[in-house]
Amino acid sequence: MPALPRFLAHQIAGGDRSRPLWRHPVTIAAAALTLTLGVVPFLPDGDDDQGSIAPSGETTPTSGAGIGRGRVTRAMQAEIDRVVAEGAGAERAQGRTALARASVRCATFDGQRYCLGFGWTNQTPEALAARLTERPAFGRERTGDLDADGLIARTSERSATARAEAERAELTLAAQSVGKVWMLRHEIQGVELPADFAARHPEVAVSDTDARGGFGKKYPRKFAILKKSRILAQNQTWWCGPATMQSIAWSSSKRRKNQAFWARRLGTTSDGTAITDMVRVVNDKTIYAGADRAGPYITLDISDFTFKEWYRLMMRHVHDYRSPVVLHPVLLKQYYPYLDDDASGHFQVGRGFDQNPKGNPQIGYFEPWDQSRFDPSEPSIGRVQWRNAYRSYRANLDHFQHNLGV
Amino acid sequence: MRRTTIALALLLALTGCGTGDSSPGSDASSSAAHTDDPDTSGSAEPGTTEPTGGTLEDPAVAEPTENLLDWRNTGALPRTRYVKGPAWEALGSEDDSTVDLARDGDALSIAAGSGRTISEVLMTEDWAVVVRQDKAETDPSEVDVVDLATGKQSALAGPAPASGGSWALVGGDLYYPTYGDGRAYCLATSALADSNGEDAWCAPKGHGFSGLTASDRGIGIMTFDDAKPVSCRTVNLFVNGAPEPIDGPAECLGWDVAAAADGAVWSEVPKPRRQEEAHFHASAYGAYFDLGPGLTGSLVPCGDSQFFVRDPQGPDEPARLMRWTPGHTLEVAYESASVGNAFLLEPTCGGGVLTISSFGEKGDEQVWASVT
Repeated sequence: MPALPRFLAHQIAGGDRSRPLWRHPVTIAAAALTLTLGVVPFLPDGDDDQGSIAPSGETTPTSGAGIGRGRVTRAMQAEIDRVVAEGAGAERAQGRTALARASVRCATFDGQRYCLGFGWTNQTPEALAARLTERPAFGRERTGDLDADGLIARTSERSATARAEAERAELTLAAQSVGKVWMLRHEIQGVELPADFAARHPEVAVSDTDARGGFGKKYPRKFAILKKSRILAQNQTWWCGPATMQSIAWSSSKRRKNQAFWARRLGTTSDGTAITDMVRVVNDKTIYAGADRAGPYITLDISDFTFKEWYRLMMRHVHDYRSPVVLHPVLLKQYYPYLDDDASGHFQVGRGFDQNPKGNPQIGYFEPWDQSRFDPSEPSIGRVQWRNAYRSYRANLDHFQHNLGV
Repeated sequence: MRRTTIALALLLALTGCGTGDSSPGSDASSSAAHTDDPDTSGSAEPGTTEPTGGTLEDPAVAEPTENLLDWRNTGALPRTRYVKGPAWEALGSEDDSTVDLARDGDALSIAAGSGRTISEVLMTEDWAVVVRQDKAETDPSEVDVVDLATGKQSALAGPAPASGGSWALVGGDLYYPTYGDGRAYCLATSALADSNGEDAWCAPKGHGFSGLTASDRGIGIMTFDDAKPVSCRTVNLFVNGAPEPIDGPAECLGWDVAAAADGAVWSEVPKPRRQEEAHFHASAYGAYFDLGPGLTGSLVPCGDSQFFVRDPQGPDEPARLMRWTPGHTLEVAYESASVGNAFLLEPTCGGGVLTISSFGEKGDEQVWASVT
């Protein structure tokens, strides 16, 4: 073999050697602080998504959700108190099954079920706890969402006070958002609204869903929001949450804060980021949670959504609300063929759709995971992507939580 | 770039660690031997005719004809790791912690072991290779080699593998990534029957490689640089022990590549924001063919042909597995039951037996078929 250069500039050659340092807990903090400043990627011109769609989320929404935060009624407050109280002693639960059941406690607000850590769902608490007790994927690369082990560990590691405080905040936000849940189920899934819905939820402007022709025909063929330059690759393997949040908040405020900033606000650890924390911070820190945009973001279980309903939700959110979706897929090669390895649950920024009548429906998204930064055997690809939406739907369904942030 | 012939001197060079003629895996080398003279590229394979392709600038559009293979259900869940060979089959556990190899009357199980996961399962008529990757992706991968004639299990002989990366097996020759001097990222080869191996080629500074494909016709490899945000990618076939860019692909846009009868099949990804949408091409005797759209990264040589996946091209269209044949024709080898919202996974090939997983609104399935 001929003599070779001693040092290679790219991690192609040194990737495996450097990876332990990247992942060593002691070096995490220092690395995080030094690596968050990056260069905004500019892709070459010429893609067909330029010029044929609304340019960005800078434009005024056509309608917005017309949904604000609702009032927490006495009944809701009592339900919050009940669920929080049921968690007393959860940190002392022994065994995975017991811990899972202690983690997944559910409240019913105005006829809709909200389960801690999972969001709004039609599933039973037992079914959700079972998702936690299934053996987690062994050995998959961790890109940064909080897996079942992480959710369970969070329950056992928090002090009783800290857990109660976090759960109360999560449930309160949920209670304030139940009007949006009803509206989404009405608009997307065809669920009939209660007769007194308008009176009980004055924070919701009831829309005429029939006017939308089933949410497909009256949407443009193709549409996207968010400037393509406002996405950076995650600079830690487990920072898909902070990178996704950075992109969404960057588009919201037009100012970029580094990923370490968002990691702190999300409560991200080396175990990853919880989707409920993604939703919390989008609500707290961006314009997209306003009534003229998407209204309060919710964590929504889509396991009972057909593909058509899932795609309608994307169109509704991106076009009518001019707001991004927190996508929550499992990052397996079978769904993302550009990957080198199977990876864990993940966050991406959903920001466009292309109904593509001559092909298959597509979604547009920002991909924070740049495996070329961490793996030596893959080329760099763009952070801005469009793809077969059905693949993304299946990747969302295959995640053990089956949910997303909208 | 000069045209790369499919004369596979590459195998002679790469297998300086050589596969002995008497070894179970000698088929690849012996097959390659008949093409080790570059000048043989002027004669068509037996039973084939000179193609009537177009020029590089105006390639002939290959219209596919339907010629579905005889597909049979594997009995495994569609998302399961499964490789079928002529006699043996390999079935991975859902969590990639074990793989079970079995045939009539024989069975053995390989566990990933503590801190490891099964990352690759490769199979030919005579060999199975199971790669156990370090979960932290720091330590070298560990490899179990199984002689399928005897069921004897042994460790890999050759340079220590890198963690992850692209692997390929043809006959008894294994190709895999390793690190050379100065941590250069290198391609290693191991002749399984002879239990020896060596570094064959190392990527230059600031470059890497992936997308290995291997067949009796040759070794394909994508090389790339470290440009950001998108690497400049080149598709190559190995000639005389080094990757040589094939003639045809647009500069920096290549992704898939495999040696084919009298030429090559390759893909280009023309739009960096549509990474999964590739356009496939083929060459034969200096003539060029437009094979149409396909899924990036799905090209697999198997038996005498090369296969790639095509997403539904309309709301009423199925997902399809396309086949480029030695006769320089394009065929549809599989169609999904679902139309519109459907997709196929990258096929796997074990000694001329192809396995494919299909996902769609009308249900998922995993099926296999013999190519030859």
